[in-house]
Amino acid sequence: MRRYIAQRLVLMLVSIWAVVTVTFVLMHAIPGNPFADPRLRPEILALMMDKYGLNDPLWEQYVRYWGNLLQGDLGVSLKNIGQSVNRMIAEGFPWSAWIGGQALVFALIVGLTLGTIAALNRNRWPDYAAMVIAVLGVSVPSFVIAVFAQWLFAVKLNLVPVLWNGTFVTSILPSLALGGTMLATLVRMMRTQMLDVMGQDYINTARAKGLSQGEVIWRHALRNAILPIVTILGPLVAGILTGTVVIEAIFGIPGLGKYYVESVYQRDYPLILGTTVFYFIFLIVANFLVDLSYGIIDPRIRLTNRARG
Amino acid sequence: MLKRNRKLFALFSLLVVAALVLSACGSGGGGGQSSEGQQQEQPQQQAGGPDSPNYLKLNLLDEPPSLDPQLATDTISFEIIGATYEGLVRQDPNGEIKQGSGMAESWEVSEDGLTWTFHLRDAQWSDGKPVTANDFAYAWKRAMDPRLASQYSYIIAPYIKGGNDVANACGDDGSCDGDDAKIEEALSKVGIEVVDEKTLKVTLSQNVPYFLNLLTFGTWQPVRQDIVEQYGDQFATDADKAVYNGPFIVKEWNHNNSLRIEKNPNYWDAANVKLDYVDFVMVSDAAAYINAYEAGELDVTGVPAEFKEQFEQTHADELGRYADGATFYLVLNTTKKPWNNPKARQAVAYAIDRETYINALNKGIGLPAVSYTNPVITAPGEPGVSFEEKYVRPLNLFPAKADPAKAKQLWQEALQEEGLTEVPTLEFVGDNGDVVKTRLEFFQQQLKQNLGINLQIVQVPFEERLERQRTQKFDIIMAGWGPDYDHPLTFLNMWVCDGPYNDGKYCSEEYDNLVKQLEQETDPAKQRDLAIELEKLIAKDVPIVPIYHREVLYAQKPYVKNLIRRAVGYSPEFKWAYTEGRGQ
Repeated sequence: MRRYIAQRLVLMLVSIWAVVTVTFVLMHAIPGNPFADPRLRPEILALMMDKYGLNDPLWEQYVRYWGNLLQGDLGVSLKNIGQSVNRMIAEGFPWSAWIGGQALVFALIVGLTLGTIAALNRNRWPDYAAMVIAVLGVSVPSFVIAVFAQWLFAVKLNLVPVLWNGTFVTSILPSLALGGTMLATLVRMMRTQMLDVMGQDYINTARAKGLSQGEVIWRHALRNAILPIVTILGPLVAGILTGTVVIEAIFGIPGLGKYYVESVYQRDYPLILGTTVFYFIFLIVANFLVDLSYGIIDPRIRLTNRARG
Repeated sequence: MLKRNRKLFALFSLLVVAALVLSACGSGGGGGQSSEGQQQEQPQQQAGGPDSPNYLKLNLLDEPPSLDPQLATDTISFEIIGATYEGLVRQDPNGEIKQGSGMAESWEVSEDGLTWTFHLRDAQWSDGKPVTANDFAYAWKRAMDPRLASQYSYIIAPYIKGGNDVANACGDDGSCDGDDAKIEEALSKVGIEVVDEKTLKVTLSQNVPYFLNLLTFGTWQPVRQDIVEQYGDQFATDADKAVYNGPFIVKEWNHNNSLRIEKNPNYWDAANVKLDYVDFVMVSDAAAYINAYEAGELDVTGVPAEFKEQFEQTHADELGRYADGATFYLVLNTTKKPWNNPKARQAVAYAIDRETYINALNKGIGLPAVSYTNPVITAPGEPGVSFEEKYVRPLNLFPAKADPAKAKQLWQEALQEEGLTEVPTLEFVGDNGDVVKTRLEFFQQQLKQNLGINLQIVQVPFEERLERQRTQKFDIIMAGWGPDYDHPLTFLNMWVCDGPYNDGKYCSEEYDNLVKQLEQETDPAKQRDLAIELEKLIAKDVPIVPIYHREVLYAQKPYVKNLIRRAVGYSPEFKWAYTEGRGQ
């Protein structure tokens, strides 16, 4: 187990190096520069490039970036003049994580419940209702859900404010909109898994033992059905991160998503690298934790681990 | 033992996942966000007077990239800078610049228009220290200093005697390393003199007919040397990392989310400022800010063309439009055939139906450009009078509707003169995107139909379009220009031979001479006549083909009063704005 963790950690460090390097090369390969502006004169452009060390050879900039990165310094944004990338991430991420975390919790609770209910009531109305929700959630983009929810709950019904202001009330709509797509995926997946598991021999065995339906579902079916769901938690978290980009723009949430996307359009090199590295680390750590958590849920994985280490 | 460890670890890691999710919820709720700005204070009604408290809720659309007057370059930043700083002059509600309107109580100008002496009023910064002549001298020199690498140094340096020497002190190597001595020397010779604490003497490099107007531009606003030096690179990156001398101060700046400006009690004319504060959100999504306006969370909003009909049905009385000063035109590459021939360029000007363009592609928002200079520009010496409307539009220089017969005739003459029987396919370069595409296709169709020209549409990323434009790698391109100051020259001096934005490379001695005369002219009436001559020359030579003057559609709640929108200078102007009857 320890060896496994050590191996994973080394692998993480190597992949961080690879991500920084590839991102660095790619972002400098896109044409243009951070200061593109129809009014900018070439002689001033040269001065601006010099001021930020962008006229230096790329390898020099690369080495300098690593030097700063190892000290935890992600540099200064080129577009938001004087703002440090560290601070932009430190201030933006908690909001993204808040909305994202809430969306995740919402989608998990509602999605797994609906999926289970649908499976247990196969081809009856609760099943159809859950499937309608699932199809809607998958096919309607989150920004449409978001704008519609704003219009319905804020403009027409006047239950909550349209725009985000840092309070819980205004975090509800963005969380619902963001969690909607994920919820739909979870409902469908949970339903399929439950149907699959309920047809297994060990469920029949459990029933034959005389266990009640509730016990069969709770102790035998759910635990087995949920494992594949845990597997996709990693990608789901990634999906939330990319999803927040749109949702943040619609509700005016000062999260990290906007920086992540706009920095590329604006060729804000330090911000591109900073957000990419940050998101990457966040994701591999999340995936790592998900991998580790298998052990709790599925005894078979524990055995595999023992065999390995 | 091993097994138990693993179990513990697995449990631990699950806890970490849970903690991550939960802590994210927790820290999100607490950090940095003030709810102060959110309380919905119900204004008390005073019979017929302004509301109390008096506030506005507006949308900035995006985070201001910089609130440093010398580094800011965009309209969002300048909107806040214009509200929180004040230059030597301030336009009055009618757009006129009068003595005593800003930090300068009065001024004198020498006969030749070169030497300006400004006498500052007794005014204070928001921290109570007096506003002095050095605050201006320091700010202007700072803008020119190549070590700051300010994009807008060109809006100051060329006008001030010795300014270009400062701006160019780093030489052509694109670096200021080791050039400190040269820069300092050039700075010491520049024509900005602090005579005493309240007297500033400025020597211009040449007569500048619009000098006072230039002073309302963001880059010319004063900054305090001690504050700039105290914060260094961090100057003006937060609300409390700057001092302000304008009608408002930046009270709160939650980056990427909201910003509040509050009435500045130390402002010299605070008695005439009615707004207590203005809250800005930063929402760029059109559907979202329209929803916010409908729900009463915004008092004013921009209305994109696709929402025009909806608003006309539901809020017709709240809709308004204003010209933001931008003029759009086709740039024809005059270094290549056929556009080297003026008649060929004229033919394009007659072949395009400007009215159809605005109605079909802009839902009728905008004005057909039947002349070049934007109508927002004031006639020299006639405050409140549009130069274009009064003096140029009546001349009918360019048609609002296409004139295919005349276009064809000009085109044939041009081909004959150039010895051409037909023209190869020409490249029409534009930015990526569907919106741009429909625009390019409109011109493609018009030129095909009216002149028989085949245009090939080439859509490229913005950066590449700019690069092609600068290096003449195009046959036709669409571009636009917005004014820097309120004088026809801000448009008319674009097409001089060595103009930095003259991408079509039109070059005419006659044009250059007229611009030079206009720049040197001190008599406003003669300036106006020269500007009219230039407009006529543009109609004859067609250095560019004017298409339309942009208008911006907005909605504003009926209780918002005196919020002035301008194309140049402080805009929107909050100084005299207020609400009356909010909540009724």
